[in-house]
Amino acid sequence: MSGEDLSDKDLRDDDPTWQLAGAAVGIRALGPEPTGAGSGEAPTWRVPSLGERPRREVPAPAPGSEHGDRGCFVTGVRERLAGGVPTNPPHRPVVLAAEPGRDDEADLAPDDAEAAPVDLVGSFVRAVEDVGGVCHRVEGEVPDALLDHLVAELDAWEMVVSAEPEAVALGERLSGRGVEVSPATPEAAVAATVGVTSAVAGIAATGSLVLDSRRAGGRGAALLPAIHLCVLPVERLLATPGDLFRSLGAAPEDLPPALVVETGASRAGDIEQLLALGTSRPIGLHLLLVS
Amino acid sequence: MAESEVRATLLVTCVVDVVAPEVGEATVRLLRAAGCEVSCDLAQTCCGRPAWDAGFPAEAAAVARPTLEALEAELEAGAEVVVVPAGSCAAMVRQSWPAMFEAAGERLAAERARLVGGHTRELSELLAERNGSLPSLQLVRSTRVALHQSCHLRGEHRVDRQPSDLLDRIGGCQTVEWPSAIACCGFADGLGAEGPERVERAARADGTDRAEPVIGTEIDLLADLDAIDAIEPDLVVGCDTACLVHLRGRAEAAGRPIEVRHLAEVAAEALPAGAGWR
Amino acid sequence: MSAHADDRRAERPGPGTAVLLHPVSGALDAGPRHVDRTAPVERISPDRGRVLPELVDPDGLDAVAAAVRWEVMASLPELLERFADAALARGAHIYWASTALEARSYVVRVVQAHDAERVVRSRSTVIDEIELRAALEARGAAMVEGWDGALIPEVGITGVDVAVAETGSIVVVTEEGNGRLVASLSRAHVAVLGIDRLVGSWQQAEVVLRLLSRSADGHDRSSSTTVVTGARDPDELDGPEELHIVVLDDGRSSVLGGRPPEVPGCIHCGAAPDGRDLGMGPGNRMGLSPADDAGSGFDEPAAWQLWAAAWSDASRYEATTRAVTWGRLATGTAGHLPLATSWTAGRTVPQRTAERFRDRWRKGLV
Repeated sequence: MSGEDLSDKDLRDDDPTWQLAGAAVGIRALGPEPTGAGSGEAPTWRVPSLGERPRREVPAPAPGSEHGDRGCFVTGVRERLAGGVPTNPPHRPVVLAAEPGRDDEADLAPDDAEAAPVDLVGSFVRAVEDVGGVCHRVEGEVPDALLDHLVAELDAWEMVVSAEPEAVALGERLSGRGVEVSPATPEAAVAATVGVTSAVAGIAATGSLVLDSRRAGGRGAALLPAIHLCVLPVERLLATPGDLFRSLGAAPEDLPPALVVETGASRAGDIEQLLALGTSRPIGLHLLLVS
Repeated sequence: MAESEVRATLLVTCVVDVVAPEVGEATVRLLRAAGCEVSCDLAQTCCGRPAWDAGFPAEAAAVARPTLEALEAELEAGAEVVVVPAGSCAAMVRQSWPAMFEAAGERLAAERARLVGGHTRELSELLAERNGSLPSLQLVRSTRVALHQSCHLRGEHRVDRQPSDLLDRIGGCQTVEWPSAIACCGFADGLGAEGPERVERAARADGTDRAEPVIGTEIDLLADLDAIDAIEPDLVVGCDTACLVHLRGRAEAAGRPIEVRHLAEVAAEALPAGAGWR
Repeated sequence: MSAHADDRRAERPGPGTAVLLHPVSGALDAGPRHVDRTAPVERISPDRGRVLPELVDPDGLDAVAAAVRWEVMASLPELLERFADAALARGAHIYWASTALEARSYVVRVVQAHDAERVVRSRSTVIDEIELRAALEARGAAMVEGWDGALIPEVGITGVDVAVAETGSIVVVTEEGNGRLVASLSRAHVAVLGIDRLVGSWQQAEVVLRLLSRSADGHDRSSSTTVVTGARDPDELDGPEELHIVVLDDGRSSVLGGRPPEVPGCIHCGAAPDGRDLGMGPGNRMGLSPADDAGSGFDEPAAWQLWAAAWSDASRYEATTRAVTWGRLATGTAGHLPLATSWTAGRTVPQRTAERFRDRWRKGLV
């Protein structure tokens, strides 16, 4: 089984997984329809290309080991699901057909209009502010003045930087302005005031950031320092969380070991109770939204 | 085409035995017409449901025990299937007996009940399984029928299509859509205790002359009856005599009587003359 | 769910208590249900004959989630295997735990293999369910919720909110707790996955996740959703080196298989816990019991004992029912149950004959 990935092709359009009850009320069989970005349909999110940096070859992990008795477990589940005696399958709930005039979508439950913002940037900025973050809009290069301002305001002279190219680049610039910048090992991250990262996507409806541990080379930069400073190019904005999650099946090989959807900064009070390390989780979120 | 004969034993149920023997007779006729050889061990009493629903498993198990033994004896004597002309009782035997006997501390009986339960079928469920064996069914007079599906049959026993499938096979039988088809009749809710009185009390309480149910989850009686008035069925049909009697009683108490029949009776009437008699 | 609203009970359901499957979120609730029959009940819309989830589910999401659950249940055994294969391919370890005992034994073995004195956990009902704390303490390991000293715990344990067979991923949703921290900072991450949390595809997972966030407390807007797929990459600076997924049944397959919950007073009408999902009509509810009807006589053990005494014996059954049919002929009312006098009053059953079915059978008339 090593190296075998589940991908779309293993779940065909007529696979019962996609079928919904209620054919009598005109439900179509819904299946995954891979769509390209910009095709006018719901966007399929994919990990952005790494630009100049060549795509890392990630060695295939050693397959995990299996314990316990799979056969016995699964057979037991099958029997008990059947109730042990022949019974009719319970009456299935009816799923209402899509409203007439609505575009066909590959989604089981399309986000409703209110939840799916049209003005991605404006909605994202508002949503970030709603959850207590600060959004700085930037055209092209981040101005030196803004960097200086942030460093001074946050009194942040020790930062850790994750491995995304945008974060690395920003780290180099900060280093040039006198900040001590280091890779985000856990020890360094806990000691630093600011963690600099670059998200692989942003979600406009909720003001969330999507963080990819493979791209970042880890998790700590976004997680441990008190302030999370994140660079996000606007073209990586998605409308809703659904746009992200629905796309994850399209390219399983792109799924990193940890993909985190982070919304807002945590409430410091909880963390004080949980951790004896002082403020070791972001209590401030600063976003550099780059056009 | 005709399938091989099946040896069926009848769990007649106390309600049919005592209140509606004609349903039992219709059941036997139907089974014979479907190629079953029908036996019945009269050492059975009742499935124990009333006490079980009321929360008295020991009493329920005590009453169910002779019935369990009678059905076991039948199966040992060669019967292949236990047929039950009531959804509540079929559900009780197949779904709840093991839990009931366990709750009463009778482990062994619970195991025996599982075995018997595996052989048990509600009537419309069995007839659907023996789909090819029934002769064509035709009522003499065209009849509009509203189908009531009991909670126990549909929800516990999980038989939802078979009653309407059977009705569809009856020529001259026109099923009319009834919104309350799957709504609870309220019988098991306190065994329909205080049915008529509760309704009267409610009418006095709010000063109207309309009888409204006091407790809203007893089915909105008048909406049921309004719906019936609107669709004007000739009969309300179901697979549970208890539900049917209860529905009829409540309708009468509200001054709007309805006609009820068990599904077996309607189907048996539609059999060719002479079919199903010994 | 980690630190989620349904983390109400730390007690494992004991024998005889009901284990109910919440049809929408998939969470297992434990504990007997109590239905307040004195509470006013909302009027049912005249339109209610159509079983429309949208009466209570304005955006239809509950209905879709219910449909997703049915689809998943229909193929759960296959999905379990797909999930395991996908997770194994990404380097996760899988343990098949049919019972709570097996689950905690495996976790204890992992803890011992790491020589750990402490396990950091994120709040999750499933961890309480398998009664891990006592098993660990018996072997000299403590289960804690915070960090104390070392930043990297040897062993961290979380529940799983949703698992996705398509990619072998597990999802941990954190609102107030430390699920993300535990999943990120443990050397060995043990994730306990109840089989009711598994879905096939990310399409299905999205529906469930949306539902979870919808039912979250609106005040707490900060949250994180961590999608874990296998153990860390070799060149990542942090993250678990080992991911252990304990796939737990512990009675879920029986509940999912449709055995009605054994709730005291349940009449097994099939409406539980949510009549809509079973296609039952409105007006069904569970927790009804004639025994709740104070004064009706149905809560009297003596009455039922009397009934049982009469009907637990075939000849006594014959005698009492024979008397009843004669009685019915005389009064024209149905009185075969020795109890329900208030019920039987006012109910007329046309009495065609004094004969019961069994009388006719004996006579060869059937």
